Amino acid sequence: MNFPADLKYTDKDEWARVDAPGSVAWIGITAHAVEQLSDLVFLDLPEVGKDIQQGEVFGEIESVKAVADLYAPVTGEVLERNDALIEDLSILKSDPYGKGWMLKIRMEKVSEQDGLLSPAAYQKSVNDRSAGH
Amino acid sequence: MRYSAITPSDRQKMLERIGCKSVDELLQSVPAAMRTRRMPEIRGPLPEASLLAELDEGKVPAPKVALVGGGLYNHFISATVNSLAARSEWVTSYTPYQPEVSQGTLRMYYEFQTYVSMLTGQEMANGGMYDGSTACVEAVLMARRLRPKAKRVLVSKALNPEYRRVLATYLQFQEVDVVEMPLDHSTGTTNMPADAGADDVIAVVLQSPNWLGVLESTANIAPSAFRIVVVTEALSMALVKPPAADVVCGEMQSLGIPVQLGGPTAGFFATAKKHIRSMPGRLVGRTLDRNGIEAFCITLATREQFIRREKATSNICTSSGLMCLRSAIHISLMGRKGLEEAARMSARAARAFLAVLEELGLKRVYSGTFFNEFVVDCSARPALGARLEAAGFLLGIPLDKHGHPHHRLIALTELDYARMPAIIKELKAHAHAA
Amino acid sequence: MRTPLESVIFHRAAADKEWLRVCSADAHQDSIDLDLPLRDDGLGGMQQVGEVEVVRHYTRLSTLNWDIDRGLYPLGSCTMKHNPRLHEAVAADPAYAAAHPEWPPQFLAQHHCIMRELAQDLAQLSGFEQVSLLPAAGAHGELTAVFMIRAFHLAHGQKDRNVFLIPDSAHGTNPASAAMCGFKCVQVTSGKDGILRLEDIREHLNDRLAAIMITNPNTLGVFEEEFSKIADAVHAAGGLVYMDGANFNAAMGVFQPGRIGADVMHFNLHKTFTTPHGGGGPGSGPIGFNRNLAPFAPASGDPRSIGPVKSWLGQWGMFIRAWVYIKTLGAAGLKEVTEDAILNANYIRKRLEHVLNLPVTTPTLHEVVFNDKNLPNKVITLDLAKRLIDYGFHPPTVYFPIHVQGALMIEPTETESLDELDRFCDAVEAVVAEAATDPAHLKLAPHTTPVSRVDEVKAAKDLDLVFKSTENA
Repeated sequence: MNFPADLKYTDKDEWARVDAPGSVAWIGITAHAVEQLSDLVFLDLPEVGKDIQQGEVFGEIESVKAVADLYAPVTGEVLERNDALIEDLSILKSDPYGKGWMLKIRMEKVSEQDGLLSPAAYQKSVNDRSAGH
Repeated sequence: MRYSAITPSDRQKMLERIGCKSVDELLQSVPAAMRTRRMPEIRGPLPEASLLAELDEGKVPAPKVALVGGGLYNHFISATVNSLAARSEWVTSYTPYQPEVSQGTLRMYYEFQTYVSMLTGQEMANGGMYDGSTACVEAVLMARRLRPKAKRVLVSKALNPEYRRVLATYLQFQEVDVVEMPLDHSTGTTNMPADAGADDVIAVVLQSPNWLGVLESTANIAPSAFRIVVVTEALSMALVKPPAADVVCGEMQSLGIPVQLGGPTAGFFATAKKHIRSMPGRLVGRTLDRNGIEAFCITLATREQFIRREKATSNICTSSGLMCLRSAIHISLMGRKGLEEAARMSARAARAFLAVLEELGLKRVYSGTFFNEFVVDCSARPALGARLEAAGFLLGIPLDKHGHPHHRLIALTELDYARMPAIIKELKAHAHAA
Repeated sequence: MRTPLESVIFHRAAADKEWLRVCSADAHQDSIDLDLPLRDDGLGGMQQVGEVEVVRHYTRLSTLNWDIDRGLYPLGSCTMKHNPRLHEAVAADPAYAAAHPEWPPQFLAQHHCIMRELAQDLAQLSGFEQVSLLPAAGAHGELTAVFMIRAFHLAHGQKDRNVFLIPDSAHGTNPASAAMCGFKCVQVTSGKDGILRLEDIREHLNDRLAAIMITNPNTLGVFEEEFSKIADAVHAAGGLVYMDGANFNAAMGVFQPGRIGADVMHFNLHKTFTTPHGGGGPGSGPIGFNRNLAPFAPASGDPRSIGPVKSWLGQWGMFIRAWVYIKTLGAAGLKEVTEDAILNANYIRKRLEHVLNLPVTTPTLHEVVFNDKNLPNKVITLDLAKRLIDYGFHPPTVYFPIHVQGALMIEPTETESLDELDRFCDAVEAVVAEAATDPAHLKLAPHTTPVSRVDEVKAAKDLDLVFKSTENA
């Protein structure tokens, strides 16, 4: 599985794309996360204007057999929410990094991006966790 | 022993196949120090006829007339309900986790959900809870999940005292303040505080008809409040729509479930569609099978304990299946017209009996509108209740232990409507002997 | 002969159909005006069906269910044993069914006597000093115990004891119950042999520990031989021991949880004591506890009582059934129940140990867990389960316990005959053989039921929980 080079990741299977000036981030979940879930049924995301905190739960994604918490990769305020994704979860299967974005965040602490994982480090995290099964 | 289907020769064959000489070898994994030393002291075994004879000998005759409610009501249940609900496919079947072999149960739950939605006027209902008291608690817990920053629950003083105590039990560890909303002593309705809609209020909890039998309204509660209306006399919903609320919950016992000392019964829980993912309890949905045939299954199970575990909306697992079935059959049999008739009879019986009590000089305590239950002050005839009780006639529930000496909470149903002349005759006979 | 596939009853409802009249009209009472704010919404669209159609409907629906009277339900930890008819007859007697808790005590003397004896018998069986009959189901009993544990620690000034240790093999209600009381659930992992050992929990033995929740025998059917050792260590660290009594069918006459270190345990009357499952309830979950927890119990009379967790007295209708069961069998009979339950499960284990994969080979008691490892052609536990239906069996529990991948948990109980056990094992062998010879057919099972595999994704996405008549739409 290839993880896009221009994104940063967390070991909770989230990705973040930070805009060049560094104050806006687009976030979502990786193809690996989507693969674990199967049969997606529901996505719960916070409203525009709400604040999210790095490392804390900001929403939920639900399949028939499981609910997974979504953990914020960065801290900030929700500027936009991808309602089209909420209506059609199949986008996550086809384009999790593009049209499958979940939230656009105004980052409160730009330096947080330095603590996120590179594509290679994320790949290792995925491998380590898969080996445990 | 009774109920065993294994013979001694079967046992031999099985042990040989397993490779053991005795069943005791199969218990080797239990260390000797942990084994039971002595036989428990338990009376038995008793064969069937002996057991039934013993029960028969110990029976105490039931009261001949029992105008007793207080949250559980003696309503008519047809022999048809009992017969259908006794079918082993209903009684002995398991929770419907395998939909292909439990379509009967699943369709029944969908019917129950629909009937509760119709009765309460709410968009959505679940497949039942243990009883009314725990349904009420679950409503408050749901409100808390939806309003995590709020701290106070406003609870009517006229919520059934059993329910209030259960609510207090659950909330004692939750760092929540339970604030009692006082009664208007003239009408018997709840005095709603002006700040019911404040941000720090989790929910406002009212019962209607309330524990004193009086109908309540939510009209004066601020629209921003989370209103929980509890109904313990479910038949009232056939005539009187529950007040507008965010959750309507309570007790289904009045509809097809025998009183059984208060258990098992079935709680009901109904709310708006938007709260669906916060709702506790089982939900059954309609879908299709892989051949396009209509099929039903448990859905949104991700909220339930067996998947969500510590993040579940509730820990509820086994709830009230067979009691929900009884309600569904009863409601189907009565239909709208039958339920309305039974409700009118209950209400009329209560008013007819009250009229006779008033002739005897006993006064109704509260002036608010009632359905089939009311409180009378018996101080004009203080010996009447006891004399009636000695003759097997229960004149309601004495409220002495609730701080109201001489008050009695009296309920009537369509079964009392059916024998009203005899009831009145009995009452008058003892009243005039005073 | 095929019964039509009956949909929900609303398709039969119409405004002009018959309804059941309760009693004759009484002119005097009918002349009374009802000063009530009557609803005007047509009772939400409810109509009538008529008695004949009601009977036909609920009879047809019932035929769509499997039930224990018809055949085996080898569901692990559910203890689906025979439900005696005698119990139903006694419970239906109006003397017991119509009793009201607000009647004066002289009318309820026999009822209270029966409840007292039931509580005593449960205490005798389990080795606990006292029993509260109040909780409405097993999970409710767990919650009651969790509240008592919280109250205990608070009474001892230990408000920071916030951790519940819960094995990975635990039933979902365990962490759900603990979380409902605000405890933090910390998962502990059993060893490869399926046994939880003291060393597995040692790091958690500190002043944050509130309690450990253990099922014994555990959900693999394995007896937790270090139970007492763990209990002693937990007690020494200031914690309490809760035992999940779902598997009590393996305990009677063999061991007594209240004497080997448990402080509190819940019973499932609808498992061990055969009150019927009713398609999802009612259950009944009394709890046994020892003197250290007694003041905190509901209705203890002590000011430290947690208070009631349910209205009234509990599930009386289930108490009388369980009481009849215990009186029918007596102590010796209940010991035989446990012995035969263990015999039957071990027989199945022996017959299937080379047919399915046995992930844990430690000796088991009344239930056994296999899994789908090594099945050919990507046939999984779910497929096995669904195909067993075509052979005339309700599937075993699947995908639980969750720490065993593809688990298939089998508990026959003691009321199954050798013939039924053999038929079941034959069916499992046949299905496993099909995995090699005809996997495509297997994976689409069941083929013989009125509905086949259900679209659960659609059920969750297109939520349809309440009937909407197209007429009223």
